[in-house]
Amino acid sequence: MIDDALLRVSGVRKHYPVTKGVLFAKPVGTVKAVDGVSFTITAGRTLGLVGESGSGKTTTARLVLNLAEPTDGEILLQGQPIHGLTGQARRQYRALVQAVFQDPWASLNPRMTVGRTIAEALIVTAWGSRTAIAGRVQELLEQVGLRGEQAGQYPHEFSGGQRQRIALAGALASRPKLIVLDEPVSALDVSIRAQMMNLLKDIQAREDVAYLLVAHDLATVRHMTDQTAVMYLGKIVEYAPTASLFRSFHHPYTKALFSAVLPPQPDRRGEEIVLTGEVPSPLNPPPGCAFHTRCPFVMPVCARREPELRQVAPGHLSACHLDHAA
Amino acid sequence: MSGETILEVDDLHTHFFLRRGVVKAVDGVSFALRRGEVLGLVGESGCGKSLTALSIMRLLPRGGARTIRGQVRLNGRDILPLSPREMRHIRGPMISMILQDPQTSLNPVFTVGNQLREAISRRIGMRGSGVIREAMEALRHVDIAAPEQRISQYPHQMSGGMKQRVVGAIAISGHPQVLIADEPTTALDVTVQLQYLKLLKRLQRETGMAILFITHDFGVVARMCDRVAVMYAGRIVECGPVQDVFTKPSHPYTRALIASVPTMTGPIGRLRTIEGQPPSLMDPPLGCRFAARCPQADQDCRDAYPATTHVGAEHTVACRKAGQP
Amino acid sequence: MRRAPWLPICIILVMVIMAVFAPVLAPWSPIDQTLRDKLLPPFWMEDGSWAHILGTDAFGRDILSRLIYGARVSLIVAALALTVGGGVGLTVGIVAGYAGGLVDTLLMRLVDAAFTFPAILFALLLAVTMGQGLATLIIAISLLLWASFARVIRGEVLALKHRDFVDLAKVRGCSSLRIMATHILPNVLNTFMVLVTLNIGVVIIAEASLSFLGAGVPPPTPTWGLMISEGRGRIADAWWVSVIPGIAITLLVLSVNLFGDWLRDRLDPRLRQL
Repeated sequence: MIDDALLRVSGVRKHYPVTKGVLFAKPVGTVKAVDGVSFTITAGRTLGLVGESGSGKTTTARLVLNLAEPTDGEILLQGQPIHGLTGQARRQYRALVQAVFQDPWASLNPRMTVGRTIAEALIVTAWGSRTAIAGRVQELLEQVGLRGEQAGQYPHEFSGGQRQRIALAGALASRPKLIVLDEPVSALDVSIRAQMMNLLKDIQAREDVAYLLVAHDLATVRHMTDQTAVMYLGKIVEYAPTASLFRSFHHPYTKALFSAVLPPQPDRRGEEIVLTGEVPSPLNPPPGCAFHTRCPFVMPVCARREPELRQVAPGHLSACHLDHAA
Repeated sequence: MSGETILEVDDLHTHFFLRRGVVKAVDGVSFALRRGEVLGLVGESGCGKSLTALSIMRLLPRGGARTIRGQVRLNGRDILPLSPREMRHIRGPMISMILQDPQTSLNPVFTVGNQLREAISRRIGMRGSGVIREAMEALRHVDIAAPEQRISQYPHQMSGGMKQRVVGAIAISGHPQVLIADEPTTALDVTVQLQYLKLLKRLQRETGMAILFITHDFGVVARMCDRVAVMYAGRIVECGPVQDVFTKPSHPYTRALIASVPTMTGPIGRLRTIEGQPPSLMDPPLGCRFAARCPQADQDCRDAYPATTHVGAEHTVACRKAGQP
Repeated sequence: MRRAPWLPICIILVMVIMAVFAPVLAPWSPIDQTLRDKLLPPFWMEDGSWAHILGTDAFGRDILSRLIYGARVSLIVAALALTVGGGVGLTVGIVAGYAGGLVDTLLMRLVDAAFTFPAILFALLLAVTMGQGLATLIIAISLLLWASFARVIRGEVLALKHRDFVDLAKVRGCSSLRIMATHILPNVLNTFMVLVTLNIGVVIIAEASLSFLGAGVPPPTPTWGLMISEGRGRIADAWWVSVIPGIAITLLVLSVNLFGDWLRDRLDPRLRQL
């Protein structure tokens, strides 16, 4: 079977053992940061991973980037597993999957010129001569809306928005097929966010690169993604084409997320679902449905059995017993 | 809302004195906060909103910034010339502040109860079991369940939202008349933010205190505030009831800012952007500070700073082109 | 912002010039003995002469000339010991901090051992087994230094390695070695420079101590420590033989410490924000 998905994540888990004691560490539990996550990304499209702190979205991103190994499950890029790679295969993977992180101040080495930072992927693979690399760096700077001559400057000479563009230029150097964007605009000023989002979409159209967008802001997700997966405590609770999700969401947590969005309109006050209680610790996730302790629609079965992701509309999955009850 | 002014900021100037020059971070800010209302102070980073708050609280970083002009009148009395000892009597019982990062607002080596009791005994002037009861009541009041357990916990044992609620409890323990909240929900998750804003609104209704709410998020302003002041490059460019400013934004900056935020409904297309950067505050331009980035600016705009005009009963704006579409 | 400490900087420069241009500056040869002129006091005292401005020692050797040539030894030893000891400490610190796990544990146990070591005794032992000389001295002093460098640098690296740009370097395909060399190393250099300046004083005193104990550079090569040792028995009647090199050491170490403090304040990024 030919796998036409660019990235396929299947049943991935990442559990961190928690130990007590300094000299002879004893395991006392596990943090189930990611607990059975599956999704696919099509070439040239964008998948959004939405969730709050503790949802596991950042850990998932790190697994896709091969910055950590999954405890279980597998991740395939163009049909090939991405973990356990060595040598040439690993280098190829690195060229195909890149990243842009949230904090523009921490993403660039303060002691390296931006040109050198952007060229990193090319230098590591001995992509070409020094002049060839310099030329490509200029090209990339222009692609992200900066000037080629700025390659010799240092990060502190740029603003936050510009640094994020530089980070993006660095990610594009090796012509990747997938870029993981971990909250790429949350640390930017409001007026700069729009610039960055426009730029990201332009580049996607031009370079045919896919994005895995990790975000907490639903409006951003609506503008940038084709598919969305909502995560809670390490699991995906709803998974749908973005348009379908925004038309009608199903999972109670998704409902709560949507009602927490504050539009810049004083009058529009829809139904406000305020969740009670705290997010449970991933060390001790509740039995059954992880959300049941805070769910306004909780039923007895929710504490006993974990709901599966089931189709509730074409291409639209939700993991809630309410859907099954029908 | 009784309309009586409780805090009045009058032509406030706070500058940063650096080796390489003077940064006019707050450059002539005036507004009034009325009893029982929530006034939003909105702007992007570097506009001077946080520094305005710190100037009011007289908590400017030492050796750097200084308020060089203006008055801050609390109940009619200018608090800027007060001595540090007199200010200590004002902070807490009259005016209090919540900051953005709950992590650094709480001392990590003291229990939550300890920090709360310290704040309470300052007000009551007594120690002992009465204070402990008050502390637990204060925690319950900010919707913290099982306060008997929480009171002996350390900050790191709590989630961000809960820490921020403790911070809120400490801040209002003195029953202040004015609360300054500087981006209190920016570091919180979105569902936690909603919880917190509702709590804040409830506390405000119950105590009748006035809130100066500083944020960069227009959605939060729409939800929380009665009136809003928009800050840009050290000055207020637009001010008015939230309803008016959002439905009829009159300053090009306000308009551009609102338009650049991605929406939850409506067409998905290219987002509107504002080209360029805010001007350097070491050497601000003579004329309108937004002129360099404004699609409607003309030479008059660049020559002299526009006067503040009324575009509504309570809606003011500093723009020559106000009122024009 | 503190102003540059000009007096310390001048003193340091004078010492460096003395060391570099010793043959030109010294009025006499440092090792020529003129027993006829032994134990002459400095020029401002009775019996002193302008021929020997700072007096002579028990062998009639000119104190000023020996002081000038002694500066050479002190500064060469300082430079080499800091390079070797500092270099080893820097490398160990980076590797331990970045690698973590078993490597880190093992290296840090080594560092702990180095701290508990009676370094001066070990230096004496080395001098006995390997023979006195510049190489022995430098090795001994390096052993004194490397552990504190390693510990401090490791601390910095522990914080650095979690920064986003390091993760991004991994994502771009950098090997651990490349990351340590091109991303970690340049970012700990500031700390390293400050450590170097703060330790110059330690090295100079260590050299003086070892020379004083007879484990340093062998006579007749003048070093300040040796000079102090030679004048030991005559503090009562010929105090200048010990005191003058002692003052020189004090001045240099004080100047270097003040300079190091100022440098640290300057390079501290938190202060730079203002």
